[in-house]
Amino acid sequence: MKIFLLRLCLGLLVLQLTCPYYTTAQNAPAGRETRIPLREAIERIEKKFHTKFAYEHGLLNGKTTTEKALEGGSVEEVLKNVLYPNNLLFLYVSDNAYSIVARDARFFQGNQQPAMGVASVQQPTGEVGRALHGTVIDERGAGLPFVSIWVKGTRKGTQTGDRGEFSLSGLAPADSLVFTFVGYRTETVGVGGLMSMIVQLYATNKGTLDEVTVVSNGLQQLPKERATGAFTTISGKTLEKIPSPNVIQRLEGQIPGVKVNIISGDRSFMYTSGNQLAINSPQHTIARNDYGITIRGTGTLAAETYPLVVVDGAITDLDISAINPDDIENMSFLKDAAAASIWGVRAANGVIVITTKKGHSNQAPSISVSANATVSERPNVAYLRRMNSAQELGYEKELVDRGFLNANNLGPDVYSAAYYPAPGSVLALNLKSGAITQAQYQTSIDSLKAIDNTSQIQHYILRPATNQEYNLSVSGGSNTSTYYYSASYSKEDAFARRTQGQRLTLTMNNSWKLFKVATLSTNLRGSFFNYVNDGLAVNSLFPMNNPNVLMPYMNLADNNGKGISYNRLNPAFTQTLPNAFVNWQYNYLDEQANNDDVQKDNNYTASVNLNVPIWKGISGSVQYTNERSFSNHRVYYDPQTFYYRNLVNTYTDPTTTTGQNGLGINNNGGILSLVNTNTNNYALRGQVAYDRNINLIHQINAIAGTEIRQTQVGQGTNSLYGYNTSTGFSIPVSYLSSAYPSIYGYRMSIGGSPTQADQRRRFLSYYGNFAYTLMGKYTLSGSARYDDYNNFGLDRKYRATPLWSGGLKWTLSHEDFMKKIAWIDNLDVRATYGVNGNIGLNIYPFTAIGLTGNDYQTGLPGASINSLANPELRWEKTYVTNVATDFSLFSSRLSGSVDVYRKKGSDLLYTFPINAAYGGTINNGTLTRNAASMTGKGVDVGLNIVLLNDKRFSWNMGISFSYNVNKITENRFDTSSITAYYTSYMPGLISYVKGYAMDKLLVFRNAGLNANGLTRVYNRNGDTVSVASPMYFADLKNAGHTIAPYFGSWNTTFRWKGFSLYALVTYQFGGVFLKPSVSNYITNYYQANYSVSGDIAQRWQQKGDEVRTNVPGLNGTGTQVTYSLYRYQYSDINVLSSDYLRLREVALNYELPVALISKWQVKGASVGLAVRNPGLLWKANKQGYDPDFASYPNGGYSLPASRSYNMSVKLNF
Amino acid sequence: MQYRSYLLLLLLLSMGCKKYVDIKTQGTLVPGQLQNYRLLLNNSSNFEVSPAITDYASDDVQYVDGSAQQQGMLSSDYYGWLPRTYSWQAVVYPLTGFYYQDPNWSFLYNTVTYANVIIQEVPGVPDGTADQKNELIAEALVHRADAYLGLVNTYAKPYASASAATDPGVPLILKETTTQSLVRNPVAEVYQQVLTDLRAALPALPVVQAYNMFPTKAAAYGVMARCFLYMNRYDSANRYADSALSYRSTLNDLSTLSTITYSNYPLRKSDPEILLSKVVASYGISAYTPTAMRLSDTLLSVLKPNDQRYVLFTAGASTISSLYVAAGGRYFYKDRELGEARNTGVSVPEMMLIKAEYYARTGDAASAMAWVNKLRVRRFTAANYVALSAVDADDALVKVIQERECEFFCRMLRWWDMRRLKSESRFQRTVTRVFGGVTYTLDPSGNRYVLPISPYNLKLNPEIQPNP
Repeated sequence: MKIFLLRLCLGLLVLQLTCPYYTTAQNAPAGRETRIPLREAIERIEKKFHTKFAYEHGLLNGKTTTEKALEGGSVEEVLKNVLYPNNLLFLYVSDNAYSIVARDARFFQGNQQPAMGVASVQQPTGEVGRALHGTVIDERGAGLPFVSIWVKGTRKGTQTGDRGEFSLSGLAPADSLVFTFVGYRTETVGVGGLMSMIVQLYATNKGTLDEVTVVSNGLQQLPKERATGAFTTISGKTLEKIPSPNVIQRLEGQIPGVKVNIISGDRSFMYTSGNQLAINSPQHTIARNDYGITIRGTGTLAAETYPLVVVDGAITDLDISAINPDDIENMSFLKDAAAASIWGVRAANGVIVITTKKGHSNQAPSISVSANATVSERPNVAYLRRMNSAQELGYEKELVDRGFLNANNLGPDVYSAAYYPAPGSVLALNLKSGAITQAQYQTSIDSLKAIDNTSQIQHYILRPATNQEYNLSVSGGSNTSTYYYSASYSKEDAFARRTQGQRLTLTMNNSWKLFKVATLSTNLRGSFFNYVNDGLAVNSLFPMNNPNVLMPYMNLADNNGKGISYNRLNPAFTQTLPNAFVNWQYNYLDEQANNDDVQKDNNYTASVNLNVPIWKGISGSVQYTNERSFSNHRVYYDPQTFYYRNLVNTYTDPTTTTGQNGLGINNNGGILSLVNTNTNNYALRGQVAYDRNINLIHQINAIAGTEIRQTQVGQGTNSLYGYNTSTGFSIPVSYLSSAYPSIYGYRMSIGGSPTQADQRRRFLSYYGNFAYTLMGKYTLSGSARYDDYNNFGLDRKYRATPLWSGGLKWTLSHEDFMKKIAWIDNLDVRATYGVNGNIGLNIYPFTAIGLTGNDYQTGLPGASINSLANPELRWEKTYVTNVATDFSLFSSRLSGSVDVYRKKGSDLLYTFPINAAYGGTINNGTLTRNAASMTGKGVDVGLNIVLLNDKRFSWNMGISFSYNVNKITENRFDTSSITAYYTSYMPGLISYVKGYAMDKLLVFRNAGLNANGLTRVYNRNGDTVSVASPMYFADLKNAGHTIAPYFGSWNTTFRWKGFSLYALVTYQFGGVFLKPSVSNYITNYYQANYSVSGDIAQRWQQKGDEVRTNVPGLNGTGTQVTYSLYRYQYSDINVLSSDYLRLREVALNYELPVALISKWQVKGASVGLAVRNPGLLWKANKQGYDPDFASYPNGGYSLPASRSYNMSVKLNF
Repeated sequence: MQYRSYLLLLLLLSMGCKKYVDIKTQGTLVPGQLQNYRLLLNNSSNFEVSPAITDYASDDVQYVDGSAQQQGMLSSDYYGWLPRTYSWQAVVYPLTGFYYQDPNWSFLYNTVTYANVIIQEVPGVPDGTADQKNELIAEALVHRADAYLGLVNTYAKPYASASAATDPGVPLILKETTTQSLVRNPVAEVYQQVLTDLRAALPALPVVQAYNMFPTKAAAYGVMARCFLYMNRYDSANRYADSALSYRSTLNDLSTLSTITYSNYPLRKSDPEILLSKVVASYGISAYTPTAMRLSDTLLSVLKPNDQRYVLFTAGASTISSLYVAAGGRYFYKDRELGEARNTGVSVPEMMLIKAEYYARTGDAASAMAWVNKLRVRRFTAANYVALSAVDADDALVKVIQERECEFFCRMLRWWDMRRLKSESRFQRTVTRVFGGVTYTLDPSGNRYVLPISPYNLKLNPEIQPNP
């Protein structure tokens, strides 16, 4: 060992590997020609080929070449002719940009030409069977891993390592080495007297864009030709086509089997529901309302559904928005068990592996600068289809006439805050009670009817969304180190005015060769967010649970642009209050102006990886990753805000004569509410890898490792009362019960007492993965992982679980009988089977006792039982079978893959109801058991078609098609388990039924209205059923899937010279959605929550209306009206198809000719114009809904994305 | 050489990690510590429960048909239980409604579940002394006994010595389980279990606790006295009432008060009258629209306006809502005045009236009235107080029962008394009420003195025998 190491070190010290190039057997140009200075020749090459060269000052001095050498078809050919005789080499930097460097003088004695273009050092003669070290690089100069190398005519061989390096021993000078790699031209190089060599391989077909040859599972790289699992890799180049600051938008439709739902129309990295991490949630909480991503559907009922994200080999718990998309070299999606089970207990949802960009060795600094700006069209409030003012007022009048709103709503007390009705209702109530005359009522109503606040909402609340993004990156490398540094800044304005986000990301990726053999890599990333949530979100204007709905006749501003104040309590009550009380009205525009809600997130990730070759293909690596985030959410309630005024009024005795509010705070200070969330996660991993090619027959890639991982989340909240922003002073308050007088007459405590919670979780894992390939044709793979998690139980038998996979692959195209078929370039079939895990982070096999804080009566510390002891709890398991084929035909003009899979989830966690006699009210009368099971199946198809490919034109097409459905197979979900209430009134909320998909939509068969305007439905026999009669499961109709089972995309790139045009169309088929309609009717005075749905205008109002409408009326008891509306909502007449074809993106890009820009030292420049969301090309529903944005006005979702325009500029130096 | 150290590091990493994941997370307690169970008992909302909707079934309450309050009850399914209980329906929580879970059943069994966890797990806890453990177990036993007494008086027939051994009671769950059959144990067994738990608890119970939520010896004796009273075993009831009173016999003096607020009247947790604080399960303060309890004519015939309990604990319709003025009447208001739910747990006055009843039933009218007057002197202003006397034992018993109405109205015990007294001919009465134009009757021989077990619970466990 010692001697070997010594030799290795020595050898490498002597041999500097600096000069990658490849040459064909091109002879030196003939002599006796006119010599021209090399500098002049280079300038001519620059002009001729529109290339750009970088070289050291003085490097070309005194060197010459010939005219003849300048002849040649390709720039590479000419450069070889010109440079090699001068002992100069060229390095590819980027398209049309090269750097010129000198060959190390020591490599060449005198004029000796390298044989076969291989840099060499003459070996001292006499030694037999010496070693040779080398590197295989691609056209860009990057090391190529997994290249097979064998000694011609023998079975001796090896393969290159991660960075393309290899070594062979026992070579004779007469030997030739054959280098083969799928997708690249095979090269043969004589060994001669060389001790080292650098071999460059060229791709066979440049037309196959972004052909993936190496896939990564995050822990190791595998040659795609030997991977058995379902990997899909997307390159950074493809991702660049969609200019969004968050990679999630760039992924939509791109990967077969991966469904990305963009629910937010106007945001990319700032989220509607805030970005607060929920400390006790078992699930990924950030951005749940803005986007969703699933890999091959959902496989769990209650546990985590978000895929695991791995960045440069380390699990990240940050949201994906923390990654600058321009830093991404490529992303791999691990979809089946063979691909993902190496990640153990969280792999059941699939794994997203992100590899960030690195510098290339021997690369002059390359600088890339880009900027882009997006502006959208105005959001369209009309999409919400609200009633107009006259219709809304008519609805309110009917509510009053029918007594659903009554004198109670005008109760002159503090409780009116909960049910003081809208202005139109107040008028109607006053008319009914006789407080105003019919004439007075009519005058007021007529003036309200004339108002339509749509334009005011558009003008005061909303604006076009905008986005700006700036990127800078520098990368390069020497022969011993590489670097990639980048910085990006983005700023976006959401639809809501005063809602804005900023993001800064910094990335530093370095790697060093230590002692010539070991590699030390470091990744440092920082992402810094600043969110300002001061705007009024559209859905906040239409709350679901209180009467404070912005009615269409309620203007926001008067004629002078001054905000209008509205009553939230009965003015007959507030007017009687003493002067200690402040104004209790609500003014939308003042609120918007006074909001002060800022969240600042700082995230840091540092990762260090040391990789050391140990012995004959064995290498060891250690990786340590630390991810920290600091989030500070600060909301300041100015004394002018409604929150502040409401609070101080609440804590004031209505009989006070002091003129002071009960909290003792005055207008010099507001209320500051703080939430600080910190995370500190680390992982330490040791891994041994074995990569070896034995006699060209056996090829082995194997890893084994162990990892410890800890996640720690701390969250503290605090409130400061009377906080003065200029002095920083606040007043001390008491959080004791009954500390303060209240408007209710009794004393109350105030909220906001400081809290702190900490969660720490630990994982210990052992894992291994191997792939064995026989003769390059037959591959066998396997993986196993054993996970142990602290919260899952006291006893290891509960908390640890083994997960495994196995796979087979047969590369048919490598068989002799297939080689005759010329049009098949590559064809293989593969099959895998294995099990992935999933965990619920908040369930326990023992009686889980959780602290509940201090008892509200005694103040003593208390606890409650979070879950009953359930010793049978296990991890969820998903068994995945995947059968697939990969193909490349007609010289790679048609390539792609088809995967067919089946998933079987068992031991799935679900909370089933149990009798309170066993469990009381614990978990609301439910018990979580590993009792559910489901199956899933699907097909993923990815196709790449090269229609045209020559120097001036190219035309490519990519097609992605996915099919995914699932079915509940658990007996406990039989139809008898469904509560009659749901089958009778809420079939859409029936959770799971055996034999049905998770995303089924059950509805009633609508039979129109009865003579009283109440909904009738058909039962199974076709008889009409009235509201009062129950319905049973058999009476319901399965309307289909709410998640479209067929989805995917079609994209095309057409290039002509420097212009390229890209279009992306996404589609989905086979799904349904419920038409947004009336969310509720008011049926009792204390739940005055107004719906503003336009459908209300169509409601039944008098006898005979039942012939013209299906929308039920208000004619009945509260319960009847409510149930009648439920039956209408969940009716088949409201089911619409969600099929659509969406033109998501059209982008035109122009690459400036190098000749044009080279005088400014620019190597590449491009400008782009893109239109995002041009619209739906086709949709199945005729009502004009965008199925991705089918929300009730009070539905809590944002407005649909409006068309936006993006302009971008990119420069490379 | 460095490579070897890396190798060593790798080896180190892969070994010695078994302890790594043996950590616990904040906020979740790992079993095995006595303190956990103390904390469970401290969480009063899990133990301080009693069945309560029965107040609406009792003759304490009477609504005016067609009134605004009645309309309010019908406005939402949320209040569906109220009219259904008021009109003694055979189903109170129908499956076709959104509110199909019976909170009375759930909350009482929740107490049983918590108690079972403590009773079963505490003995195995490695830390703590035997005395400490026994005290926790004793407290849990008292709570479990009280919960079963509540369950059996809600979902089973009143105790009758002749049939108690066969009348279906409620399922007795005495250990942690999710699988035991829920076949109903006979009424006699349930009562026996209550007594067994209380007897087992007594030796380890403390004499004094910081708050009334925590069982003391007095509390256990009090529950035992109540249990025997509803078993019609007046001598035992009297004996244990004595025991309870020997620990605590203080009465609040209402004679000098003109209004009550939280500052001049003790809250439940420290009210000296209360031996063991219990509140209505899940429903909280009653005196809001539309759940406010409008006092019946029957009650107002015994609870006179000069009674301080009328003055202090009730309010006029206008106080509840201006809309209720039209229907008039008087409403129970004590809980809203104090801002906390009404107590239904055993109390000093209850012990005194148990004693009074014992004497009345054993023919000692004078002693009976002495105990009644001992209470009444604190319930009237000095000006209004008149000592009661009885002509004979029967008269004394009637006066004792009337005093119970005045003392416990709208606090669960009236319904329990109606149940036990319906088999005594002199107290037997058919209650009728009109709701929504329909007249309902509560026949002493009918089934409606027993609350139905909800269809939801019957569906989950079909072995539960439904009430007719």
